[in-house]
Amino acid sequence: MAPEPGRLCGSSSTSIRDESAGAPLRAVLYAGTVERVFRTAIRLRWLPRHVLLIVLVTTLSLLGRWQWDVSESQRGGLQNLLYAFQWWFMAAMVIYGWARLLHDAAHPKAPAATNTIPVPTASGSDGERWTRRRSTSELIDAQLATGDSASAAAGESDDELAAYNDYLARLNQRAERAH
Amino acid sequence: MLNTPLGRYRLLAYIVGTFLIVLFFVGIPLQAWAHNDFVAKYIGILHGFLYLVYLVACLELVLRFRLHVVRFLLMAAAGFVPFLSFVMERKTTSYLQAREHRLQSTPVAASAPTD
Repeated sequence: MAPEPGRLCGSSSTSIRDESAGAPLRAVLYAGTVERVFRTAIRLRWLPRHVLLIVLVTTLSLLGRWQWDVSESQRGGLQNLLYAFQWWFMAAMVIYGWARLLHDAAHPKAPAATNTIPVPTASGSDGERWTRRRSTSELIDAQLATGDSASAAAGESDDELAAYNDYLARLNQRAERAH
Repeated sequence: MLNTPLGRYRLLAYIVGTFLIVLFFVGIPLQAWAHNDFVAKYIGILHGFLYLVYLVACLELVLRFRLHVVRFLLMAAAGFVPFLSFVMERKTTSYLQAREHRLQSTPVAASAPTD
């Protein structure tokens, strides 16, 4: 591919994930999203969360079913019907929280993670009172989100960028194997 | 106050805490000794729905700022233990403010270890 004039002076936006020139960008991003979420979901450390999701959703749904049955019986009424919907609402909340956690874990640079308190770092975790072990990949994610990748992509050639991306991929693989 | 997750959580913590105190210290005694169900029943239903909204606000705050699950459980328990919601609101607010202050005063990249 012939180098474009914009590439030479380095003023055009250097996209890290821009290898597929012909394919529609949206389709590429979407395929990557599904794959990243799936890869995150099948990691071993996510197994307890999946189990917890199934247990909680089943329990809450059955509790809602129980109140639904009570509301249709002789001693029940409108209040039990409202309770049934409340239980089912809680089940929906559990699914939402699970999906949100999964999405954020798969997309460390998603806008939801960057806020008034910018990045979940080692010092930023809720760890003083109730300690939680932070994984290596999370720390790398934090480094990425603080702009290491942006500074790397700013003025360097594509070869150096590819080498840097390889390095990050190897770091990520090593972090995933450590779990 | 309603613009941030913390503001929404704080407002709902105050409202739910107040309803819970009315329920516990007005509604239940009336029901037990005066056999008057009115306050306990309707404040109870209202508290039930406000508690769900409060849980949504808690979940939003916990997911946004990656708070610990124990803190979330305590925040959820604060919706049905009298006075606990005021305590947890103070603790969580001061915790988040201290964390934000610390993040602003120290450079973030320096705190990440190099494996």
